Amino acid sequence: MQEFKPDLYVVARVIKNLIEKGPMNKTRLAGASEISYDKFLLYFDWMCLKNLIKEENGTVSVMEEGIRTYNLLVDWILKHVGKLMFRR
Amino acid sequence: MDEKEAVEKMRDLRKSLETTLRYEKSGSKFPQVFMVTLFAVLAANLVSLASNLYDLKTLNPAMGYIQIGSNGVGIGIPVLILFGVAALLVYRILHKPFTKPVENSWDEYLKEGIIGIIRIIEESDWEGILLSLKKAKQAFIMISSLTILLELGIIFVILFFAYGILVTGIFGIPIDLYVVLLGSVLLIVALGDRTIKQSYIELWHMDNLVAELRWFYFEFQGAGI
Repeated sequence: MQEFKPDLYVVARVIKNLIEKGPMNKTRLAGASEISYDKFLLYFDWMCLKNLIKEENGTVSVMEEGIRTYNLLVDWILKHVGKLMFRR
Repeated sequence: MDEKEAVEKMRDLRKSLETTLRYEKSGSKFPQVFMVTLFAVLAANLVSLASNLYDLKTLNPAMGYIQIGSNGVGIGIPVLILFGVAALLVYRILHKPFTKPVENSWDEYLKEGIIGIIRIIEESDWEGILLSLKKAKQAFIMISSLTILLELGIIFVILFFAYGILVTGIFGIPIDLYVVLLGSVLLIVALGDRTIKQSYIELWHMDNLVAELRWFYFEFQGAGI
């Protein structure tokens, strides 16, 4: 079976939704993340494996590692986009 | 820098890229330009050959028969019109990419803020963009050179006639083509000084854009995200 390669922006979108809207069930989270439920399940398994999110009593929530990863990503983007110099 | 500023900067980056990449689109039309030029040269030669070979005559209602062969009115005017049409065609072909408004294909993604920026960085073909920028730079040099050559040609023709009328017509001194050419070059340098400077600045901006994007791309690759 081919290894699952997640899109970074989808991972970030899932975490952002959980941070901003709080814990929610998988169906709602898939909708909020704008991906099909089947595809979402692949992301869900992968993110649980990486300790980015967890599921308890049918509700998905973000873990500390998820928040840390998301913040790292946002900081990287802001830092590097901020350094870009070109004619505007 | 906050999210809003980052989004604005990415939007500006795309705009700058789209503007620069117009030269690449224009450069991709060089084969067409070559064909038009080749056709014009061949057609001019054919007209010259035909008029000389058959010593053609044309009927002018006001003036009767006019010989258009080498001993008559000559083929200068038809050939000049032919090259004029070719020059107009070349201009239209090369100028077309610059007539369309600059579109920002990242706008849709950037509505999502930072997530959109991540998506752009992840999905963009950076190697392809860098290659296109390189082609755009080459096309820009080519188009600038062609423009200067065209201007030189026009000034040369104007000076040739002016020299002919003033110096040869009045003082009877024969036309010296080297003097006309030197005068044309000097006029191009004097009149086109600003254009040449602008071209140099444009090239510098292109180089800068490539360097910045290369740095950004390598940083993203090296970040291990």
